[in-house]
Amino acid sequence: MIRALPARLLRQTGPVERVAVAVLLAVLLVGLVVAPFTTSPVTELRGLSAWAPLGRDHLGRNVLARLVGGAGSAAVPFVWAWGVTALGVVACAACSWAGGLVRAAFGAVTGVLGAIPRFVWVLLALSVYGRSFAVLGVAAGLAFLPSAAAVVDARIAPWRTDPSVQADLAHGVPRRAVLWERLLLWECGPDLLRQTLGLFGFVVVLEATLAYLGFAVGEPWPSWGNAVVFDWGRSDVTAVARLAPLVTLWAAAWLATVASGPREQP
Amino acid sequence: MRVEGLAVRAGDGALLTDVSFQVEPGELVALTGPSGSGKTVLARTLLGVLDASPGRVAGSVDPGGAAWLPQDGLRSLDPLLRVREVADRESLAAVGLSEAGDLYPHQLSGGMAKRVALARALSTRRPFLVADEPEAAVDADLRERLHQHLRTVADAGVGVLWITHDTAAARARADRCLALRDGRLVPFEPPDEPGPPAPTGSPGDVVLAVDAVRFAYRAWRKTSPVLHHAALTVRAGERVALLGPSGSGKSTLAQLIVGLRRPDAGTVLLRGEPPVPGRHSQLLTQDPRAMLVEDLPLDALLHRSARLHGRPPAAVAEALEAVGLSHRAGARPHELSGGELRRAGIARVRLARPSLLVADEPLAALDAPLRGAIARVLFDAVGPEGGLLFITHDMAFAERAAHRTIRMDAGRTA
Repeated sequence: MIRALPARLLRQTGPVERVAVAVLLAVLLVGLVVAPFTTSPVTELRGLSAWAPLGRDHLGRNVLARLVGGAGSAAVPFVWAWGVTALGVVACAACSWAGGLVRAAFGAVTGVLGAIPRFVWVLLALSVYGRSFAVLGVAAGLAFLPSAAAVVDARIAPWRTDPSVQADLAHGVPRRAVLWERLLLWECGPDLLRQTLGLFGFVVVLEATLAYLGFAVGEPWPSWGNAVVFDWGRSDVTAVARLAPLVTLWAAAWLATVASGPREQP
Repeated sequence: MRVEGLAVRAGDGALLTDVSFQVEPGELVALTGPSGSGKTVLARTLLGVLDASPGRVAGSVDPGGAAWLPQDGLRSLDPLLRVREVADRESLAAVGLSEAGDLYPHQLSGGMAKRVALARALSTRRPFLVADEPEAAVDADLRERLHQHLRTVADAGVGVLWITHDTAAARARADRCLALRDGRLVPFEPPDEPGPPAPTGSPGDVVLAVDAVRFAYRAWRKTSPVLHHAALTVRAGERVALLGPSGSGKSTLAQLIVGLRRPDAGTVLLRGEPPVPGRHSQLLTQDPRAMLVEDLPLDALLHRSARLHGRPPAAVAEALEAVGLSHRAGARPHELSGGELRRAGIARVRLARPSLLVADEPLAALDAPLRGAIARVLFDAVGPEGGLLFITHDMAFAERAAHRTIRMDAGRTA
């Protein structure tokens, strides 16, 4: 079943989701592996060149290098957020499967979490624990958890009494395999993939918004949000150099958000 | 309701070809045909729920505002809504369920769910009704009542298209009978049903012993007793039929026997031990699709079962061949017909080599020509050392195919 899972995810996703997944993987690869932690400021001539096809920013840095380096501003908090959300989703699946008071208690906890606006959570966390991508990611994960948990609970709770699950159990499939392999990965897999894309879009927009408000993680990390905030509106930076970070950020957020939305099964 | 020159294609194949008919208000029209002949495709087209991408559907369809009575009543109900939230009081009274308004779907028996689904369809007050095999998997009494309901609905002025495998009932109740074969309308001719294989040999040692079992469902401050005194035995090589009206506790007893639930009192012993799911027994569920996993190819599912029960990979091909599905190994559940789904489920339980197979309505929703063939595959899956306990509403079938029949009524075996 696990071996057949990639094929199921491919069948259950449309072209927009596949492109979004490709973009997400590229950002993770670039942001966590390829991109250096800092880009060396290049203070040569401003303007487009073969080495700087997107121009240079207000400090003369290569915008392309800065965008590549800035992928980490999406990738690092996303990885933290995904980890927190994944742990929460696993707990939610176990509680939904258990049912009764356990499920009700977990629902109450996520209900309280969900009642507080996401942005407030993140601002609170950054204020208390300081500005870092790890704090940003953990807070984003906690803020996103209620919606992901609601999706998982809505899928798993009715399955407890479903004839198909009864058939699996009567066939001798262990309960843990029914819950984790069959229900969480197989049945919820396509939904969880969409939730993952939604989380990515949320993190990207969150980081940019914090940058605009002056709460972003500062230099030397070349975040996409900072690139937009500091270069937009400056007359000494070329239009291409101003637009490139904005387009990158907008495209990543738009693609992830659209791909995570509800759609008809292909 | 009018259909003219309807054609539906899927890939290179034709599901329906040049289908034309009409249903007048107040008319009860039966649509019969073997599994895979296109009945459900026609119903889905009439209801506008079939993917009608360009080039897929041709012809003229005027459903006239039809309500739908789906084949699987229970699965069609929202699990979070009470009965009174899906059907109005008058419709519930019409199907004899005035007292069931506060129940949730999981508290309904299969027969009650069917009637709730009918009440929900009636509540829409639509001028036409498409009823997709409403009598499947219900006992003879309820089948008769459902047929009466359809007749009453038609007499009240609603045009009813009644999809059914019950050709005898169709001829007796309907104003007109249509027949589909390979996607085309053909003259209606009731087929001869081949009989099930008669039991052979004498039963051996006791495989299953159920004694004085009681069981009640418990919810928050509410207890619903289902089994009051159930007792039965099944021996090796024996086929035992369990009969009884809907809601008499047959399916609950089946769950107790395979170890999905524990009795409140009494004993269930399988090979002398309390039952453990999957160890000595297997369950063939009433809904054939429930035996498979959505979107998972059949061969992948069977390999999973083979690994689970310590069988070599070659056993999968053997099981597929035994049920006549070698050519459908890579198919997914939604690509299989009703008969193929049932065969696939039998292949899965066959891999476990159970000492006892409990089959809940294994032949329900199958058309007459298929029933005999599937019964043979089912009986073959158990083997001479295994026992078979099958739940059925078909008294004639039980008497012909089983060594013994046991009746169950209101939670008691007799």
